[in-house]
Amino acid sequence: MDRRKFLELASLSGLAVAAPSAYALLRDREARARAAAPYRGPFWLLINAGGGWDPIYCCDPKTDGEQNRLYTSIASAGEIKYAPIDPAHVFDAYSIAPEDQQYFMTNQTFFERYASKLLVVNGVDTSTNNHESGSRSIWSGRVLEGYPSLGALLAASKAPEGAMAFLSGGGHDNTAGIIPLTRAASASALGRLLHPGLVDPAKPDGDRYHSAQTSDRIARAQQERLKRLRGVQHLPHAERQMDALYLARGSDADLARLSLPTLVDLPPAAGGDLERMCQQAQIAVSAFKAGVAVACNLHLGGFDTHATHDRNQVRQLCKLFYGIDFVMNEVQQAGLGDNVVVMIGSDFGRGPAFNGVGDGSGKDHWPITSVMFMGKGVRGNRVIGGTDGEQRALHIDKASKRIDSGGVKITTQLVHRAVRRFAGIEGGALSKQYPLVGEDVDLFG
Amino acid sequence: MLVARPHQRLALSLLLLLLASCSGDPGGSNDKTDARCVTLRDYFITKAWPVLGQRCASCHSLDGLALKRHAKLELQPETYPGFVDTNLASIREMARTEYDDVPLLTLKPTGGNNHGGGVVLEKDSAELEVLRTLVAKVRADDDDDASKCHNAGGDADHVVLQSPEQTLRSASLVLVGKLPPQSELDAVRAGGEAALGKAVDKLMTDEAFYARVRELFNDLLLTDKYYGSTQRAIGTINGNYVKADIYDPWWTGLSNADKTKHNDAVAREPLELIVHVVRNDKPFSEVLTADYTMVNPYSAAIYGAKVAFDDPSDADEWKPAKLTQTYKGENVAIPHAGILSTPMFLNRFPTTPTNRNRHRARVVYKLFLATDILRIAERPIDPTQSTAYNNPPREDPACTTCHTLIDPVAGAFQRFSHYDMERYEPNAAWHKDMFGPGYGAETMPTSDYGQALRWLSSHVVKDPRFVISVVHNVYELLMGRAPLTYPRDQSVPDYQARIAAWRAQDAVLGKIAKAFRDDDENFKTAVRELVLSPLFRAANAAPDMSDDEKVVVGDVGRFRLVTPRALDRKIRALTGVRWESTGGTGYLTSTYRILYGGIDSDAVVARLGQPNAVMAAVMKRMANEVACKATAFDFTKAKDKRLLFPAVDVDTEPEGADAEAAIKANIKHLHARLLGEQLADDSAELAATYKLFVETYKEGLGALADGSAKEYMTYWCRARWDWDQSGAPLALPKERFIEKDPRYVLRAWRAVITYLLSDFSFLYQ
Repeated sequence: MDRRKFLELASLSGLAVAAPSAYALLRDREARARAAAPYRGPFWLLINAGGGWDPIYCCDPKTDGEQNRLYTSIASAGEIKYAPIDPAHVFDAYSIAPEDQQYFMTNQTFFERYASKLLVVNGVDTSTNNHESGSRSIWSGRVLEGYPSLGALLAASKAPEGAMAFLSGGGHDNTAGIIPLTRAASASALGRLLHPGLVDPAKPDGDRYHSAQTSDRIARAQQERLKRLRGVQHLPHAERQMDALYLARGSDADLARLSLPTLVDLPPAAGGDLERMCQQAQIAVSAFKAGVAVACNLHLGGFDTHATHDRNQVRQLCKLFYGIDFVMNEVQQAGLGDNVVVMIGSDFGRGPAFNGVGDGSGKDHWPITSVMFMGKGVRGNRVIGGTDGEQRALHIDKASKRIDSGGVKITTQLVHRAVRRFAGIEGGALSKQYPLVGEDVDLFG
Repeated sequence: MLVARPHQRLALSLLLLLLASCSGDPGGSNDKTDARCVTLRDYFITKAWPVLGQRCASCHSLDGLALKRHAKLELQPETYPGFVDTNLASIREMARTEYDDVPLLTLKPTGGNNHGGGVVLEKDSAELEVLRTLVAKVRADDDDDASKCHNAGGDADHVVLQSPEQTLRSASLVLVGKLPPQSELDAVRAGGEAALGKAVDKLMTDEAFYARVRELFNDLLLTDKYYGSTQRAIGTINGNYVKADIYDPWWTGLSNADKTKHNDAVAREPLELIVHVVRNDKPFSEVLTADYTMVNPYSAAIYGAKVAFDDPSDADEWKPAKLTQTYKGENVAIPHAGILSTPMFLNRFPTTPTNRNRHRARVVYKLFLATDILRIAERPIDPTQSTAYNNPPREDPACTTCHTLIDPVAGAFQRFSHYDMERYEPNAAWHKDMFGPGYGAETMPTSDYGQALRWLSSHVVKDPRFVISVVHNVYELLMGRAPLTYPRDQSVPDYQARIAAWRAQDAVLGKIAKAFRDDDENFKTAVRELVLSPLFRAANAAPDMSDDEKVVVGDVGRFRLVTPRALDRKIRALTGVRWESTGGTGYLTSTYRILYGGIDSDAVVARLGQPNAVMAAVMKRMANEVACKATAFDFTKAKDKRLLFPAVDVDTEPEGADAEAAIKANIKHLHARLLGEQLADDSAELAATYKLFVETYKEGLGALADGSAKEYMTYWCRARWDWDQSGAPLALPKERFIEKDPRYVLRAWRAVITYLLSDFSFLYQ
């Protein structure tokens, strides 16, 4: 596979002008493909609570009855304060049998188990209260469209040649064209693809559709033809599509390294959404272990609780925490325990008060939210930022990161600038191509 | 060029005009073209809007300060569909008003005439000069007739279009999933452009087109979430219609097959209404205004609709019906408003007591008014301000921007329950703390509350944005990507070229919109006009374009990765076999649908347009398996019935001139059939494919000789089954079996088929 010549051709034919990021990506991929080494981390799991979670029921607790009707005192695990909510009312409301309650992890269990690893950032201003721009804001650092999501940026910056460099199970996963997106779905179907030349994928020594020599000949002929087509094609859109196909091919060996697990089967009471999230996590961890993925979006929806907030928000938080715990166990079992970074966030927050009275009432969108981090290099047992009694963001001092009314507001730009620096991609070509304007605060230091 | 038949190279006057303007400075000192040739519309798009949008719109649009003070100049943001025409109308009005002989449009920005915003532009600034030119052009009554320009049509030809035959092939595969009949191709070859339109029209009378319409619109409505199940739809509407009761003995006594028929009939109701409108060439607005819905015998039974069917067991027999629900013991008629009042629409876009139909309103704006409310109102929100208001949606300017648009439309869904989505409540009261039901500046009369959705529909379809939305939807559904948005970032070096690209596309879409409108809003007209347009037909471009010219044509041409379902059809149509499991389930419609970038209308609702390594593996397995299935099987047929190998026999080996000619003739046939390419005798592609065939053949002969290969082919690649029949394989008569390949010819052809099925031109359309 003569990628070098292809790149020269791409350059000469003006691809660099038509799509500079694609050209940069091609060049980076070429360099990495030559190195031919599996990506060895750190890996990133980006967990999205879709719909807008309520930090007051989670990691930014408040006892004011206007904002919270479920607890009267604030609990702590180490330095991290949390909302000590008993989900019994959820189990009653949804008739969750005792044996199924294990799939709903309480705040107490979650924070006591993970506080020492967790960095909580409260009072993050997304500057929006609509879902799409909120998701963009949290996961790309910019409200406006056009920027790649964090997972895409990390994958494209660190190991774009990975066969499944950016996996997504949902949430904001815009790639801005800098990296292909792979859906984290169906391990059984994926299994049939790991060896597409085998008649029966379960029999590595069984019949092949073509001899190895013929398979190579076909693959070579395909790529050579694509180069010929590309050489005489001058419509930028067609050029981009051809380049994308060229790059997508040729990862057979990478895919073959995948060892897919038997996917977890949760009872109906746990919800199909949680089961999907856990299965996606299994595929992601397998891809990390094989060195073919850098980042994976995991998604659990159902947080848009304009109604029946006290039931549904708590139910989803319990499922989210179970899902995170499941993911962390999978990571441990795969031997990647100290090589994965986790970011947990949501479109925005909810509040600042209930939109009505009674069980049926909910909380509407609120631009101030929280994000949490844990994993490799993250100093845990810390909380940065906060909100006042009316759930407005408090500013922090840039150096000490303590609350300081004369300090700076924690915006999503600020968070993502810190994440980029922490991930070591701040100075990369793609980060420069998609710059974020904002304050520099070393959240991870 | 790879394609031996010369492409028809057409000068795209529109694009060229734009290229001309982007290379110069229309109306400015560096203008390389005659400034008089820059129409008012063009000037507004390229020069005036960058000034107005940047310096004036923040106060003069939406809920801006100027409008609150009743300023006359009202500007819509560039995210507003048709913002050019809307704003030009406003500008035309303003440009004719003067104070002390100075037009207000140029006086006000300098702070004159008590401009509320003070001094915005300096008197000697270039920006003010742009506005002066704009006023002059308005007063000169420059129209949009580009033909008066001396360079109209241009002298360069930057974009190469598909020939009429190629266009028909593409359109046929895209619209009906099969190749056009030879007679139609011959007619188009003879009749050229004039015949092409008629041929496309004919495609749209094929039943397969209506299946495609369902599929396309499901990408927008996503109501197939409820399809293909025994009770997903019925369970959703449980209790609100006479037979919608999954606990009723009648329902529990049904077979799963019958339950699925009932369920799917309800699930497909909105899509069938759209098909009904399209099939009967009704004005497309009827998808929103129809005072009826569509039922087949199975949904009629669920709804208790009294409709006479020719065949009460025919799930494909759809008829209009008017439905009732029981409310407090009485039958009440549903005030149908096209798809908006269908149970599936109401459930797919649900609401809550606190959301109050706002989500539905947003969907109405997005799907039928080409308006993304979220983008229009995209602005930072300051939470410290919101708490200062008792009712932020009505009082906080950060909220009212959206809510003045959303709430009135939300109010039109007022008679459908917040708790039970399709439940019709004829006496439901609406919320007084929201902006009242209405549309734009018009308030809905309370006497219309009983027909609120109909009232809304009748207003939506009269809005110019409705036609724009239809055209945008057609574009997005067929091209696989949204139309360009007006560029907002003026700091990029190719800003003017991006504007030119947007202007070019907008002009073509505008032309399609006009044809659609003039033809009584016939949906097929919009499809035909898009297919005939350079946006769909562009096949290549000139190699010597400048950087800016490349940007201008940057989004032209289809080149869309074929969607899983469409690829499933294409494989069947072109090879004669389906890629399916032995149980008859299409791999691309089930196992690999999501991995190959498709949607499930539920959790996965956005298609992937860019392939990844997993998708490449799907392509590879597909090519291997289909080639395995199709190659030997095709040889079991008489030569004149073969789809793939009409020019060779199983024993045609690449030895001797005649055999070589036959093999090359067959390769040409395969390139034409599978890829739509006509190869010349000296084509590099012919040589490459022939080389692949010969090298594989020779390798195979060697392997047969040394015993590393057998005469018998891999079991599933043998011709033992009749693959013309989809589903569980039926055995061929034994005399037609082809199991051995003693000279490796079949396996060499299999390599060729594998190669072609995984080609860019097969996988993209």
